[in-house]
Amino acid sequence: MKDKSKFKKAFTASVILLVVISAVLFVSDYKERFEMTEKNIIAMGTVVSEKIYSKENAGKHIDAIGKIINGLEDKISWRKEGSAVATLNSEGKTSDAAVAHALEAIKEVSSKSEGAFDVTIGEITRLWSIGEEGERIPTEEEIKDALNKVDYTSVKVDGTIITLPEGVQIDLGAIGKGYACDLVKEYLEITDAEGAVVSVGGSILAHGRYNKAGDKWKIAVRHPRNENEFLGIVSIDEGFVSTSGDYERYFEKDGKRYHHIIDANTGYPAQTPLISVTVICDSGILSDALSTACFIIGEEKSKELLGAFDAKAIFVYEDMTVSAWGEIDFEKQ
Amino acid sequence: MKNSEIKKAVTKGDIVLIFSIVLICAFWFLSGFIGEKQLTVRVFHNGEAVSEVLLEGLDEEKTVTVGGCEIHITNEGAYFHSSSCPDSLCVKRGLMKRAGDVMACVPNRVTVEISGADTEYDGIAY
Repeated sequence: MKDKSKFKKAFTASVILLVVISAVLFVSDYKERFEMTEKNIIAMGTVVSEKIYSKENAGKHIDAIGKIINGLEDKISWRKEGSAVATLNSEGKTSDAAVAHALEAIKEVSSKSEGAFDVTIGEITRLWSIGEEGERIPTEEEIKDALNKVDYTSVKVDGTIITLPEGVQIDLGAIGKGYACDLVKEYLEITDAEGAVVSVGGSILAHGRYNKAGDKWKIAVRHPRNENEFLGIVSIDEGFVSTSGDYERYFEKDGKRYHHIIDANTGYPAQTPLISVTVICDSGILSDALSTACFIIGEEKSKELLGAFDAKAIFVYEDMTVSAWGEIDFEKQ
Repeated sequence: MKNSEIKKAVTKGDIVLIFSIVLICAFWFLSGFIGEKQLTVRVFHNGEAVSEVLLEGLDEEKTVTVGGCEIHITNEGAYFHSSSCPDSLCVKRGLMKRAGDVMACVPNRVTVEISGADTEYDGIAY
């Protein structure tokens, strides 16, 4: 009888142990990341970092994404001779589905920001050439003349045909990286990739999942005043994250910082107490456009704009005060 | 319970079971430490790897010259020391030292990345 009881106890303990170990192994498998391949490439004049969670075809996806981004650059870069935008700027007319889509998608951001965000700002950005050879402070006269040609309502889109009045110059630099993220997402959706994080020059696409549990992606936001530090970590299920700040391209003259985010209403770098804005939403082109627009118009005016697109944002001020709008899972560092 | 009673209560099966459990746990624990964990700087030109330097134990600064760029690597990290590109944005970037960091000289198509240790994030928005 005693032996039987001991055997029962030992058996029960063994079974419990086995159940516990199985549970631990199951949870660990559930949380374990899928197989991932990563690569950094240069495309669209910037670094594209790709992390692809795909067992067999990651290399194929990495190459395909590079081609998609280069293909987009061939259409939307005003610098590339023969691109749709270069043709539009020089001839006032072109036919291109990708450019037409971009112009339609961001029209509302321009109207809701009362023209502060405007892609017809091409001539002004060229005058400043911030972050490029020949960067300078243009004269007031030059700015005044160039402002006469800035008007997003003058761009006419009919299907894929786009027309511009003479002298108006389009610059899609503010939304190109986010747009690329949109196209990458479209591609990944029809592949076997379980998940991916793709950064096109700092505009982020977080797609799918990296483990069976579907844990949130963690996206670090760069500290606006220290490149080797993070402001914090944003956790998201899926979506797009874009940051605009006065630190990325700028020059200083007489102790003043002239950054690359131009207020299309004044023709000068946006005068704002903000030094960085990060936007999270479900479109790459919009997250790019909104981060720029919100940086220019400031936090208060941004709330309505963000609300119209169901977007969220993190605002950072010169004194490093951080303010969030919308429900954001953000851990400050 | 005396030693002799414990010996009687524990069967060979129990010992095999306990041994298996310990083995599984040890394997599971150690598997977390297998793989690349040390910080490594990799330099690419036109997408092709041209240099790989392990930072740990790097006693003196190493210089990699490729595509018009001069990259210096120390046990702390890596930086573009000089570049033939017109804007020198890569040189202005300074030292990068975290795993997951990437910097590039876009005009010269040179990329430098640090990999190895686990990172707390999946991507960096900037």
